[in-house]
Amino acid sequence: MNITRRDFVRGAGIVGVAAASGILHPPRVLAAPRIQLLAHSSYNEDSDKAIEKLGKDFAAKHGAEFSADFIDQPEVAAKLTAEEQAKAGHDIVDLQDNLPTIHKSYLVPLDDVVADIVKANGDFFQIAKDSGYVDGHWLSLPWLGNAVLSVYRADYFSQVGEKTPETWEALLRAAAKLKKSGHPVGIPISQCEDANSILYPLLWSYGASVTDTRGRLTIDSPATHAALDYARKLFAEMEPTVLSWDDSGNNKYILSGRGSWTINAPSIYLKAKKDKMPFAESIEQRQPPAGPKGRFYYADIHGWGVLNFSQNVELAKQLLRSMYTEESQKVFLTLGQGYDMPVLQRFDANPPYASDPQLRPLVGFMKNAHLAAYPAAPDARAEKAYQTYVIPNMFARAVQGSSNKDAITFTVKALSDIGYSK
Amino acid sequence: MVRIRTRQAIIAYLTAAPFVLFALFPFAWMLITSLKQNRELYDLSQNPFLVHGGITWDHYRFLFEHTAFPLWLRNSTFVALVTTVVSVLFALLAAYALARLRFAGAESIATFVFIVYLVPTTLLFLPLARLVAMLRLSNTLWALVVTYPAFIVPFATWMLMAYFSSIPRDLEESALVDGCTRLRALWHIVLPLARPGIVTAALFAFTLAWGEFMYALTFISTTNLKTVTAGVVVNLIRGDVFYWGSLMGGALLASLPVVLVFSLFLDSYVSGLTAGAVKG
Repeated sequence: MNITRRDFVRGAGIVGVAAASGILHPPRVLAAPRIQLLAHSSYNEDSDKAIEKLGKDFAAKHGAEFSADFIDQPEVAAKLTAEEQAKAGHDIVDLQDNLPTIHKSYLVPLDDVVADIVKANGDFFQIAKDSGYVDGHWLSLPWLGNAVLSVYRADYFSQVGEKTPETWEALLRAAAKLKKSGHPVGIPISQCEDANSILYPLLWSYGASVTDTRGRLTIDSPATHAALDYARKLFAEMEPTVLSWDDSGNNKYILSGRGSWTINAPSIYLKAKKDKMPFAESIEQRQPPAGPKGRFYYADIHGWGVLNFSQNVELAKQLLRSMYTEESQKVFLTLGQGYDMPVLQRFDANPPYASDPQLRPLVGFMKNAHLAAYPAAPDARAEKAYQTYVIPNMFARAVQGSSNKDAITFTVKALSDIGYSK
Repeated sequence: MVRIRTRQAIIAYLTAAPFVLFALFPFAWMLITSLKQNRELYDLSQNPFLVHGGITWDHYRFLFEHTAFPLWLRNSTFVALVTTVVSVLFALLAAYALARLRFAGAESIATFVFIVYLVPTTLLFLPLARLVAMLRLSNTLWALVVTYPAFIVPFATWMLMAYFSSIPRDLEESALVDGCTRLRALWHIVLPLARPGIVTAALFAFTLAWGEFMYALTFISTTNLKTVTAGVVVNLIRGDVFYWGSLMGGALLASLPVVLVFSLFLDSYVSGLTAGAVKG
């Protein structure tokens, strides 16, 4: 049989179109439903293992399959965006802080799931509701919180005759002595998440905030001037490298034995303990310092969203319900080691890690913690400001020689570009 | 005469030295960091350019025993090789047509190819994600094999177009006059002459495919299917704890295949790059 070039091209075209449209795909064999979950990789590998265990246990009971993928938090946004464009991918996704409000068009309301969980266990903390409850619906089921505490070397503080700093002013006094002793304090004033988690509460503790409760811009205020003045004084007692730290910067600073104080999640303390570092016993943790307007707490909230293009919405919801049984929470909180904290008030009463005196300050933390949007409700603007490090940039400008007025003007412009207005 | 030559050599080496140091610095840094013990890595008082506390292979051991690093290397090799072959093949045909054949709109198409090359991959990944899902290739290495040519082919096409332009038309036309078909002329006359250009395009294609991150991150989810660029970053950075030693070790090992490939084809690469520069 002779095939002409024209026949070949026509045939190839038909096969190509058929392949692309799915005609040539083999018939699907009836297989067990498969739940795919995407989460951020925790510092604490056991946290990831806990999620895998809960998912696999559930799958085994329901004749389903379960797989979990863990990726570094900053990469979650790109992955999520690609899956939303493709309308394919994971069934359950990890949504941090303000992300439910950004991805709301792709999320299945979880009101029924939350109602069942609340009925059995009581309410979530307000910060968890701030994150997951969007436009009258629960679009994300809050799962865990990551808190930040003062982390310090008790031996260095006692060597210079200082106690654990309860206020920012007390810290400043101690910082001068600690610098002279060769062990300066250090907080990142740079473009990293840790800087956000420290500098937002610093602002709040001086009575300043990005917006008021209704989301109107209030950053240009005397309170912001006061916070910047303070940061300038504290920066003089720190090493200039804090301007270039990434999220691992303050971990490395304390674990190197050089730094004496910072604010961080319990990862520094837990790593020193896990690796049996010689000074592990000297690392202590307390509540972050208070300012003239009080003590303010910042936390990250991670919740589970179910994507509306998932083929297994109901099964995914069942899995989420199963993650809130007494037994599941015990597994999760035990393996979480205090790095991952409960967002449901009931499970915060006596978590497994509370027996460790250095982790005890975490109990009750979530009750008073806020997201970056505070005192307004979370929205896309707050997330953009957080992701573009507007507040750390303001502090970085101030401590490097800009006047308060210039630093604030720059910040107002950056926030206005994001969509804020007075 | 000898003194002049010696002086010229000294000047040449002195001129090249800063560039060599600059180029080698990342490799040296990666090597030194990957051989230090964690204790020393965290010690800010130590000289970061020296290993004081003794060499350790723990970071490499961790890489090979506790991560899927060998699989990531295998995946990267597969994707980079297949992508390079496919992309260079497409680019060869496109570049030959655009450089040699006279047809309506050739110039516009060439400009269009150039514009496509300028579209950043961070924009392309959104429509490509949809394409990958439509073809049911999500979370497979084929997703990368299908999508990488999107940014490699335009680049390779432009590179080869420039090279084809440097080959005298007379050679090919003589072959055509002697009865050669266009395809045979391409195969027997143009391609052998264009070898340095093809090698250069292949090298760039391989390097681009090997080092690509965004698509590798977004189209692949399973740890064992990741390529080395995505695998190392995603699995060795956990929250605010970076596995610096293993990260540097992984980055160093991942860069070696590219170094090796460039070393093997250095002569062809240099002549391929300079072709067309003095076209008369």
